Amino acid sequence: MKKLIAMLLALTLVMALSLPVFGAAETEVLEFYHGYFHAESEWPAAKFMRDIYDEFAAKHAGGPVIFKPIAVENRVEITSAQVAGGKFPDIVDLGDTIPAAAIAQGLVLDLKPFIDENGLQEAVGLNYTQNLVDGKIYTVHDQIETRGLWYNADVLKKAGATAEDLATWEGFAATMAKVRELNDGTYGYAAGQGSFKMMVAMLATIEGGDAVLNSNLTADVINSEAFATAFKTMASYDQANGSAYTTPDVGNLMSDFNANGMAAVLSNGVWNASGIAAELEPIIHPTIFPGNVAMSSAGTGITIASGMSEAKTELALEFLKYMVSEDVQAKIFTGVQANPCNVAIDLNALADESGDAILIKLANACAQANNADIIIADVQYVWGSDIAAIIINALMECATADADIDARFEMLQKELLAIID
Amino acid sequence: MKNSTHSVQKPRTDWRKKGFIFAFLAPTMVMFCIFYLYPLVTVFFTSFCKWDYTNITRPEFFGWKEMFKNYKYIFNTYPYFWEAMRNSTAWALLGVFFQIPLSTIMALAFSRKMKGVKTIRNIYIVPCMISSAAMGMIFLQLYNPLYGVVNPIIQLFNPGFKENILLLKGSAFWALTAAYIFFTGTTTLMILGNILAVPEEVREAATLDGASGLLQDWHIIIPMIRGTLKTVSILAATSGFLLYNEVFFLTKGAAGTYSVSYIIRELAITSPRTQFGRANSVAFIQIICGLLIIVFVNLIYSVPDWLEKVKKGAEK
Amino acid sequence: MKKIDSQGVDKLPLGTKIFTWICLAWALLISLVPIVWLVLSSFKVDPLARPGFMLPDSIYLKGYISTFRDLNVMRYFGNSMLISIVSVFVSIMTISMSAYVVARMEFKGKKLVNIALASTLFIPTTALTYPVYNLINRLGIYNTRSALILIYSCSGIAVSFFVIKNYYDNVPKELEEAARIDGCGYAQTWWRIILPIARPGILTAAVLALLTNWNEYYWASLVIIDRDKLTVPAVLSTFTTAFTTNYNGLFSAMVVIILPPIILYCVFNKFFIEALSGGAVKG
Repeated sequence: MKKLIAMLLALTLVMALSLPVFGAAETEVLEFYHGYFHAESEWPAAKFMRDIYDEFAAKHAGGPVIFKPIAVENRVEITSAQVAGGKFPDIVDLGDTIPAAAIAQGLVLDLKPFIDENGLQEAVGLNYTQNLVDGKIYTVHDQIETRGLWYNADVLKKAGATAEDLATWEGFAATMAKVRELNDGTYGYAAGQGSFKMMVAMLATIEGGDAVLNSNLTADVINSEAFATAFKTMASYDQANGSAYTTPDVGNLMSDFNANGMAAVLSNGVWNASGIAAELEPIIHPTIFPGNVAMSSAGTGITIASGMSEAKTELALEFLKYMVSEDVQAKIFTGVQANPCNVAIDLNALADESGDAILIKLANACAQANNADIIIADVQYVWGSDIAAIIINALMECATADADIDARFEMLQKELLAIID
Repeated sequence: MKNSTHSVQKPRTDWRKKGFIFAFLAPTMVMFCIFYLYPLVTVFFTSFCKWDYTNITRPEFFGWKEMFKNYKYIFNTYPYFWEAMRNSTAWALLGVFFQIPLSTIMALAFSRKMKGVKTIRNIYIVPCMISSAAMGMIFLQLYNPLYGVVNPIIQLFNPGFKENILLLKGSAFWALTAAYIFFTGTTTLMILGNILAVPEEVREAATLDGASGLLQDWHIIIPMIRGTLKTVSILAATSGFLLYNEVFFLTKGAAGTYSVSYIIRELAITSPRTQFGRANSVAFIQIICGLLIIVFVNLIYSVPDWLEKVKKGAEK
Repeated sequence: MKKIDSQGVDKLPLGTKIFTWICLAWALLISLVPIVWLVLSSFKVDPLARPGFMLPDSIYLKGYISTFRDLNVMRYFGNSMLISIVSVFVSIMTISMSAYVVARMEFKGKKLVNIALASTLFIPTTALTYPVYNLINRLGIYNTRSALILIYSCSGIAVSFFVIKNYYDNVPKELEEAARIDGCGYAQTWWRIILPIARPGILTAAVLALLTNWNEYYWASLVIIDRDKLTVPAVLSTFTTAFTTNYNGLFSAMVVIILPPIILYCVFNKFFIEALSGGAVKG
């Protein structure tokens, strides 16, 4: 009896595990996961990106491989779960650190040979240098993540400050204090994710910060003076700013700045131009971080699986070429209103041609960033999004009035040391 | 079957019975093996393995000397383990000592024949029909310092209060707890069902003895539904110990609110530095703690019997 | 003869009465406040400008309009329904079979089966991630509703098992014996005699399982990728990022997404209440 049960169980298990793939299609499908799932009424740029993808799909509709773009909100987690099973999505616009396991297993295609063969170095721009890891390029982001500050000139004026005050961190802190003194419901800035980016920018102005910015997260970095200074300074700004204005995702408080005029400053990317409400458009302007620092990261974008069939790989690379082509890149600038990676695109000319105030603003923001004294890359892409989340959590906890920043920093050091162990 | 006359009656029946038992048991056991046994074995063995982003398809045993390496890391180095353990244990205890008494009190209130009881009882179940994800989202909004309702209430007592309570150590834990602990609709109904199943004669006898209302409930009803109370206590304790959704939707572990389930996910899925071996050692600890919870609840519910025995022994 | 109604309100001591009133008031408060607040906020043009329980200055329905236009609520609701109901049906069917065998028959390894099923109560989903995910991939049902149906059918077997087995334990043995003498086979006895009697217990387990599946978020967010196959909890998690600048839209969408289960409950509350209380409470 027992034996029989055991045998039958084993049999069912084997059968279940060896079941063939259901409904294997005759034509191959190249799936592409992206994060532009938002309704057009919420974020028109999302629809615009989807249209760009659909156009590519339509162009190759008759071919042997079907290109299928799929909007996936939690594509990062899904990718990491697939990697755990030894698989990688066909193409994914990841937007977050590539799981280390994917590269260790050789699941990700090296794009460098393709870029070199086709002379796409200029077209991929910053990706060519920033995303070069051990001589390989695993990802190309079609938009450059360029970050700086946006400010509300009216609020600053009311508080008795000007944009020039934001040129140094001391000036920034003093200006925020003035804004708080207004006591009319307006506040300094949305802390949390925004302050993490500011902290990284601040590192560039601190002695020894260079070494931190250009390194993996090591024990040396965690214990460095520069890291401690940057964290504690930013935490003290956040604490003065108040815990009510913190968010792990700056999008949650964006409308306070862009639409309601309730905040003086917003630490966000150049793409924020498209979010500015029409009536606030004349008073909201871009600037770079204090200390003449701009943040421009290629970040993680289009990432392609290795080991697909020849036809699929070919179409995937064709898609990469399409996304960095001047035609699409210009559309990304004018329609999505982001900073395109292709350096051949003349942003100012495109903006002037359109005459659109928001586009001119965006071009201005990109130009300021490109001409900054110091241009740094966001450490999040080197250190990992888990590290960023831990630091953001720590900063947010410090924003409460009674938080002990020194103690919290010591704890943060311990957390980070354990995570990299 | 024709020549069954040759065989003895009994073995044949036995064979049929065995076949029946097997046929009825098999589907469940297959489900169990695929979904639980195989993962369970994997969890146990790989908790002694180096299994992270560098060797994700091939876990390597640490060797006998170093086999507890993952556990050592979790106990001594990983910064969130003890915090998560403390929180999850607290939630398990709150399940037994707060949720169940609350459910019982509510069930007793719903068992009275008063006007409007039925309507209120039906309304009380509504939050359980909405998914806990939705409830978490609603509470996230209620706690919002800019437009929620919790901060204005605090400001009545403390006018200068402008903090985000989900970021304050201590209050974040309680805010998160409050987002789920009061919604005991299903448990209340299960208890109510049992209360109403108590025969009317028992109540009548008690009333004649002079015990009515709460007194009657305490001395007569509660002891009679002890079996159900034990079952729902186990359910409440385990779901408290495994709490995940609320942490995910409300705090993501900020301000000291990690739960054990949440750190397993952090280690295994969210981090680009995938750590399956370590995640599985936490999972194994969690499974052991789950078993301890059952033992613990069983012990609590055997206290009355034990007291009885002691009393009797003393009388002798 | 007039029946003594010991629970009648007139007979209750004053203390008990007051206590009951407090409980009932609490029940109303705790179940209505969050929902009322949500509905109220969804009518406000800018919930930030009129926070808390302030009444909206005018009824603003744009959020609802865009929700119905852009967010395919009924689709997600339908997915959730389909997945929950099918998986509940499968799991309750198999569990009622095995629970019967364990409750009524003697066989070797019965204890083992009991312990095995009980132990699943504490196995956290997070611990199952990797093996189950691999299984789904190998079956080739990744990113299909079948994957969720399979997962939900297999998970949560412990609770169903104990609820149903408890009920079988209370069914008198004589019934089966009589049926057996009438010439019913084992399976027939179970199907014709036992199953109808155990119906309340089975319904309790089914409704519990239905609610669990309806709420499930972890797997739903991992194995489904196509947006039109998502379940309600998985869609909810996208709300925080999908409505970054539009609170009116966020609240309206939340109201709309919690509405179907509430309506369903209002229509079938008799059934739910009877099922959850093991048939003792009449809706």
